[in-house]
Amino acid sequence: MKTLLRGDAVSARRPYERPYQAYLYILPGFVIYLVFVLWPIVSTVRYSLTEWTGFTTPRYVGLANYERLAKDEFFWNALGNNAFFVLFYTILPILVALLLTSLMTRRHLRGMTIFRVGLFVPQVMSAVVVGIIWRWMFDYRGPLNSFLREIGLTELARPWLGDFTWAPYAAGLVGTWVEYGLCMVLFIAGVQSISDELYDAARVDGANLWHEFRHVTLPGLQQQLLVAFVVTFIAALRVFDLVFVLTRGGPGRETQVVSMLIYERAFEYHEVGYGAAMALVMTVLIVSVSAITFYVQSRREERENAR
Amino acid sequence: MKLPRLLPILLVVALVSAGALPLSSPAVAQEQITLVVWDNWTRDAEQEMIEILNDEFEAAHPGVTIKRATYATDDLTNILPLELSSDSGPDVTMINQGYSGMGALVEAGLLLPLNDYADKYGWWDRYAMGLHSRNSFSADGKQFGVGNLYGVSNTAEVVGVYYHRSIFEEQGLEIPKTLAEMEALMDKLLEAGITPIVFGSLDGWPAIHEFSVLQGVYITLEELDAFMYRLENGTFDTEANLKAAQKLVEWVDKGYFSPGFAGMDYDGATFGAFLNQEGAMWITGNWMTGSIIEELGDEAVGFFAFPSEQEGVPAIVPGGVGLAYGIRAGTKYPDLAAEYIDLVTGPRAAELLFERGFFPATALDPALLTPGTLTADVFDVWQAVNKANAVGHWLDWTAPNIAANIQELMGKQVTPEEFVADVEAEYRGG
Amino acid sequence: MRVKRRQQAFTYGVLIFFLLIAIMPFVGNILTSFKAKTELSRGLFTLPEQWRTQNYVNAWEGARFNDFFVNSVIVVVPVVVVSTLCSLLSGYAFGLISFPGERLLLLVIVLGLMAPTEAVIIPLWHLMDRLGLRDSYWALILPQIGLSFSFGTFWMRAHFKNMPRDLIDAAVVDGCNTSPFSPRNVLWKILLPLSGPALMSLVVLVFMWTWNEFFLVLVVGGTDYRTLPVGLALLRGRYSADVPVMAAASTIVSLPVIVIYLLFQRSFIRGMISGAVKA
Repeated sequence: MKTLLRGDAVSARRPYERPYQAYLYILPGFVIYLVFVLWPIVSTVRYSLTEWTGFTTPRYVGLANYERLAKDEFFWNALGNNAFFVLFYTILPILVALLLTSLMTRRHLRGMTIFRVGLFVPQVMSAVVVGIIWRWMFDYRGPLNSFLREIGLTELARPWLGDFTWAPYAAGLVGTWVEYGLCMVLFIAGVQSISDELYDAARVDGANLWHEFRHVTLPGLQQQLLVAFVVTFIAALRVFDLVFVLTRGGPGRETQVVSMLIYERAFEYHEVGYGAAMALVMTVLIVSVSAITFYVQSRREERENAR
Repeated sequence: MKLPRLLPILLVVALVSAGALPLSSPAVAQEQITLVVWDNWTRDAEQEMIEILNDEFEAAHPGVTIKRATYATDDLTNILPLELSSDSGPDVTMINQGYSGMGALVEAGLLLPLNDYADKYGWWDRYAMGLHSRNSFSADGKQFGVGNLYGVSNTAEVVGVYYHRSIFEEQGLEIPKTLAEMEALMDKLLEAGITPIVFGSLDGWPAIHEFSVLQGVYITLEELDAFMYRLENGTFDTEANLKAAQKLVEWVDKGYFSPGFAGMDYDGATFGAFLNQEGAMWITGNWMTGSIIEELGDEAVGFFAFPSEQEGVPAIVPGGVGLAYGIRAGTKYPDLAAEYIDLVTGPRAAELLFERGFFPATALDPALLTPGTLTADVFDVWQAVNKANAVGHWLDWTAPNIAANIQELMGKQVTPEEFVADVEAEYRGG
Repeated sequence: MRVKRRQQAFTYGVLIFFLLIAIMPFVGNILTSFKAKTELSRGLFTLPEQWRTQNYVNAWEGARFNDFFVNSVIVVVPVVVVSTLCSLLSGYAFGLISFPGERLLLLVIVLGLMAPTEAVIIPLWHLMDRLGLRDSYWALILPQIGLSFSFGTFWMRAHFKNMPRDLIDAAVVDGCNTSPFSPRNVLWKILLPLSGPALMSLVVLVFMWTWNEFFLVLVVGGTDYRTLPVGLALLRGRYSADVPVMAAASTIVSLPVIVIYLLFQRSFIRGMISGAVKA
């Protein structure tokens, strides 16, 4: 089964014969990427060493922005909030999406189109609307609290998004609600390229839903899981809109995230240099985690190919 | 399949199809002048008003075309510095005040001082000098409230108390003349099972107004100005601010505000709750007048100035002038731009604004008002506080994060003393 | 048989539960878009007293969708076409060819996903200014191709890594090759027909992200090249917004994405069937 899926190390060498060709394939997109994405990012590194309003001449200040950052309690508070959101933006969406994908892809169910489209809807809605709707869902007189009062848990009812303890959880769950759709699309596409023979073989062996998931779907989705993890991890650390439309970072600073501070610095205080320093620290964090993930993944591939 | 050879072609087609489109707006004939104007008039009624004025301006100036673009306030504030620093930026633009808005632009030398034009067109007499200082900065942009004039506004803003006339009548209540009367009135409402003040703090900024009105009871305008304009004696650490913070907490404890206010937003929950009489009063700005009239008519709701401790002495209430029209320093047509500003902030504009339910900053013929209407009430309040020199400030111009601090105060995360200390610390730090 | 039926019931139960959570807010949004402001605090799922289609008219006009719809289409089409093609090529290289600097280059490309827009946008504005591209469609199209290329490469790489490699070997034996310029290339002859679902999902996601992009368009787009999300922002007043009209406008903005997803998800399923036959 394994050979069918990945081939073995020896036969896989075929397309490696002319490695330089790889650069030709990458070139067209990379040129555009280099100029319009990478160059501004590199500039950001440069500007993080300056004091700059964004529209006047930058003044070189060395590492002053970073020294200030180290002592900025709001920055560390915000970074902590981002870390908390990883649970809701990355881990929970992946779990939910895995569950839904495994239920939807291998069975011929009636109404599949309705499920696939309906379940994707949260990902499509604009952040503004997500804000309006969920603010109402979590309102003191809203559906969630009505339900709690109905079942006799009156003392649990509260203005969720304005509650100093619960607002991060409430805002986080909305993130889960939005992000699982993205993971789901990736996983559904991934399952399509798993060979049917693997599933047939599993079924002949009398595998139930769980076994099928554990031994066929999950191993077949390794690459998609990597993409989903990296992309949603980035989403958790870069989140802005989604939290902003729900809580504006409040109550107090309970849900303030780093992107809000960067935005504030760059556009309200006109301290683009300082904002750039914040952005850079965060980017380095994301890159490190992603690099570790890549590394672990490729080690695993090597092990599997060697088997 | 010929896909590989097709690929470059596809790429070219895609790029060319994008490139074939005009790269810049259609060029205008040489002798024509195009005046680029950016504004904040996003609502239908506002658009109508400004289009009329623009047509009139174009009719009076043959050969001049006005190219107008609209932005929501935050968006405008975000992109103005960049755009004003380029040659293609707007000739005339509306500007948000405060250090991070107008101040940063002045500091970078992007705005034209308007003093000479103000002399020429008599702008100084349009409204009180205290209001002109909100559009004034020292030439280096460091000192707010003094120095050159960099903008002229055409609307007035003031925070007051909206109330349902029917609830006041049913409960036999009168408009309170002192803070003590206001509190007695709210106790009475509570006894009758009515929420006294509709309020929601989820958006943050509405909480600033709740604190500000109480601050205005205790503070003097000198003290407030010193803080706002960052004068040498400017500080937040004052007896008045502490008292206001304590009073606000007391009001929260007494249940004067909507239950669950921490989770209510402004546009939906708070506004809706007021419209549906889920509370008797709403402390917010005159910008809601048009929307309230649209839903409930001009007579169901009244408006009064937040009272002070002493009858007859008005409390300082947050307010001021709306976004200001200014001129880009690099414009090719400064005189024409000034003439345009004269029109859109002048009497003709005031008339058009008032017809559409907005409050012009300039004086208005009282004969236009019908007593007993919301419009008349709001206008009276504006006149009264303006005359008494009791127009306060938007605290977030100087303390941009104060909303978070007030949320912490109202959510009992900090004591009033800690609240004052926190705001002071940020004021010193920033 | 009983086990199977129980599994079926479980499947439906879970799916329906999530479906409800997923679409209830959307339904609430549609109901809101037909209401008057006075009805808002009565509840999300109450029916409007009167179905006010006027909200949609106001939204369309207030957000100037007539002007901005065309701009949105002009931006989104080249971004989707070019970035999908470029990602297909580079994803193939990263997925199936082993070359020096592979991992580093991949990380450099994925970096585009990681840097926060809020920080990068001002340098981008200055870059566009210097290149003379500011206030043009190019200013919106080129950076978004670059950003989509980041994700697209990463995604197509994952897809090609999962491809059965003996398929390629067989193809090479049959006379296919790996030269980018040859019509008998493995990518076009063998892999492309199997890449339907991955490509379609890429198209849907890139379409959605480009369609919804706000900040980039606001800052580098100037006044003549605004797209729908910037129009949506025009509905916000200084202190307040008309919630029902906002809801109507958002419904209008999200509809094209839902339609695109609907169209392409049908080909997901078709892709599955054809893939199953070939594999």
